[in-house]
Parts: sequence; structure tokens; C-alpha cells
Amino acid sequence: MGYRLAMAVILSVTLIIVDVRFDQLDPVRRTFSSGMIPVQWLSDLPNKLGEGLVFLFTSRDSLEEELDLMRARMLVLERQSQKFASVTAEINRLRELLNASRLLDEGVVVAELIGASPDPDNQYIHINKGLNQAVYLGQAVLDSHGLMGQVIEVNEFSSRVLLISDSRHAVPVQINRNGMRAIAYGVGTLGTLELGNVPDTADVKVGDLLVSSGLGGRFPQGYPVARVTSIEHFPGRPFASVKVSPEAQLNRSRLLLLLFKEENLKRDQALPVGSQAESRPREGAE
Amino acid sequence: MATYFFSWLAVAISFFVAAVLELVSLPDMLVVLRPEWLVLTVIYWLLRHPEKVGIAIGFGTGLAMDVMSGSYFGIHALALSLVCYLVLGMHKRLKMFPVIQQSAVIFFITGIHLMIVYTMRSLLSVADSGLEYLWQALVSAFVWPFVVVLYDRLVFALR
Repeated sequence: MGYRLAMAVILSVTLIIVDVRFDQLDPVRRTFSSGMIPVQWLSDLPNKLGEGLVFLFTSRDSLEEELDLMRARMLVLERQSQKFASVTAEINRLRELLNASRLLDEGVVVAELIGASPDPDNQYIHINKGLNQAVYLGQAVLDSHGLMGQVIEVNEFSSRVLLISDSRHAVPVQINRNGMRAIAYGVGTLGTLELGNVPDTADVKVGDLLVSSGLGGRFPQGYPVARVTSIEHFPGRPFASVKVSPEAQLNRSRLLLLLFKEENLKRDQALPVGSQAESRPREGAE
Repeated sequence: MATYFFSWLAVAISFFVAAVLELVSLPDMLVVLRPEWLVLTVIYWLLRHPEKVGIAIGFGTGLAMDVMSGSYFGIHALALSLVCYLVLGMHKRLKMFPVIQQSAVIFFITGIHLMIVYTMRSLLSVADSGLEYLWQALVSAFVWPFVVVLYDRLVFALR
């Protein structure tokens, strides 16, 4: 028995070292977690049943009301996106005048949440799109309010998304009001992120919107990330402590958007964001 | 001495159920109170059939837990193998204990499991979580009698 224990210990220590140092074990992990899919599906069943029950007991009136609200909202958003298309075109013309590179448009694929991390220290979620939908590592994931996180593991039919609030995650951001750049670090709690190394004299105000800056090349530019909630200055320390709260509803959203850069976009399944994205000439792309 | 009926089907079903329970999404308040279902399941089968279920099963379950929790391969495997060794060492006494006393032992055993997991994790990455995992161990100990009754029923039904 002691002999077996020794073998198990040696084996697991080797596994840990190999997994920390190299990435040869990724295919193994992928096969394992593809095999876990039935378990995952079942563990999401209570949520699905709950939603079904709520739907079953919703009255016709309230559904109709909701439909009306959604129609009205769609109208408003459509009007905005009409303007958005012409404004993008305008900006691109201006950028051409300045000989700058054209702004790339992204496409999105709608994904659904199928599982969340059982462990409060690791903040990630599972979504129902994987290699079969050309999901790739490092892909940005949004909900309807802002940036949620990035894909860190892709299986055949599902993938794992690290949330921006995880303590291992950081997003390059800029303040929408004045363009000041900073990095938003996750601290391991869902409601707060921290801006790192903000000088005491920096122009930050409570309520400022932070958008992704696109630096680092992982997240596309201009998506809302968080809003500043508190700023504390410590005399004697060079940096202020700035707390921000994520715009995305990290623990509530069930419908998410996977963002595809244009070159990775599968034309048949992704909807372009701007309505004119199709008609725009593409040779000017970077 | 009574010989227990053994079926791999019961083992498979119990592990499947435990894995589902391990992954069910809970409200934020309750996440720190999730019992270690898979560890309890392994301990149950170790106590019932120490001749069939051993360290190898514990190791395999640990690997599955690593995949489910997204931690480095081998952390849970290491912890669960050690737990299996501990339980195998005292299974004869543990079986004789009244349920309350068993629960107390389960508290320490799951506590050891969680301690190894969290220590390894904080060694390998930045996460640190204080002693909150003791709540998980406490809830596991509290749930243990119910787990035993349920699995006994399962075995009886499949007899």
C-alpha cells in the first residue's frame, strides 16, 4: 500500500511539474473535458429547469408587454446603428486622409453559458461554442454591457472563459473621457477590479468609463470594461488606489458574444456588427 | 462477517452523481459551503470495499477533479491519493465508529485534502484564500451521514 502511495505521489508530482512547465498535456485535458460534457450539461439542468418553470408561469400579458418593450428598444438601437454605420464610414474616410490604417470591424457569434466555476478562487465560465465554431485561444468575450473575459481553453464543443475579475487577469484600458491609459487587474472578487500604478496626480474621477485600449493586441479597442467607483490617495505613496466595477454582469449574463477579428470571421455564421460592414471595400484592411 | 454485494455500476452511478453535484452552479453566498462530494464518494467506497477500491481510484478521481476545476494536472490527484492512504490505514477502526465520530474524522480528512489542494495552488499561482476552506470541510462532515445513507440505498437497490 505504501508502495502504491509512493507511485501515486511521484506520478502526480511529475504531472504537476510537466503541466506547469510545458503545454504537452493540453490535448489530454481537452479529451478529458470533452468527456465531461454530459456531466456539465446535467449540472446546468437545475438552472435550465428553473428558467423553464418561470417561463411556464409567465402570463401572456407580461410576455406581450415584454415583446412591446423589446420592439421599442430594437427600434431605438436600429436607429443608433444606422448612424453608427455612417459615422464609421466617415471616420474611415478621415483616417484615410490622415494616411492612418482603417478601423477593423469585428464580427460576433452568440454563445450561451453552460457552466460556472465551482471554486470561488478561480473565476471562469464555460460556454457552448468550441473548436466546431472556430473559437480560438485568447478570444475576447462580451456580454451586452461590456467585456467579460477571454477564452483560455478550447474543446471540441465548449470552451473555458477566464473572467476579467480573476486574480490572474489584467486588461489594458483607457479612460474614455481623456484617453489616459491604465491596466485593470482582477482581484478575485466579482464586483471589483483595480487599476494598477495610477499616479496620485492622474486625472481620474469617480464615474469615469474605462474602455479597452487595444494595446497588447488581445482585446479589440473601444469596448466598455468598467466604471471607476472609488479613488483613495495615500500620502507617502506614489500611486493612488483606484477601484473600478466591471460593466459586464459577470455573474448574471447567460447570453454572451464571442468576438471574431475580421480575418478569423467565418462569414456564414457570424453577424457583422455594423450594418455596412458587408458593403465596405476590404482591401484597405491592415 | 457479512459480505457486501459489490457492483461497479453502483460505483459508476455514485461517481457520476457526485461529479454533477460538484459542478452545479450555486449562488455566490453558498459557493464556500459546497461539500466535497467526490472526496466523500471515494471515502465511502474505500470504507465499503477497501479490497477493490484503492489509491488508484482516488488518483483517477483526483485527475477528473483537476480537469473540472481547471487547476494544474495532478494537484487534486496528489491530495486524494494521500487521503486514500490515510483512510485505508484506519478503515477498520473508522467503520466501527458511531456516525458522529465518523463525521469528525471526515472533517479532518477533507480538511487535509483541501489544505493540500490550496497550499499547492498558492505555491503555483497567486491565489490565496485564508482558512475559508475549513467551512467546506465542516459542511462535508455534516453531509457525510446523508451520503452514507443514500449510497447504502443505492447499493441495496442495485443488489
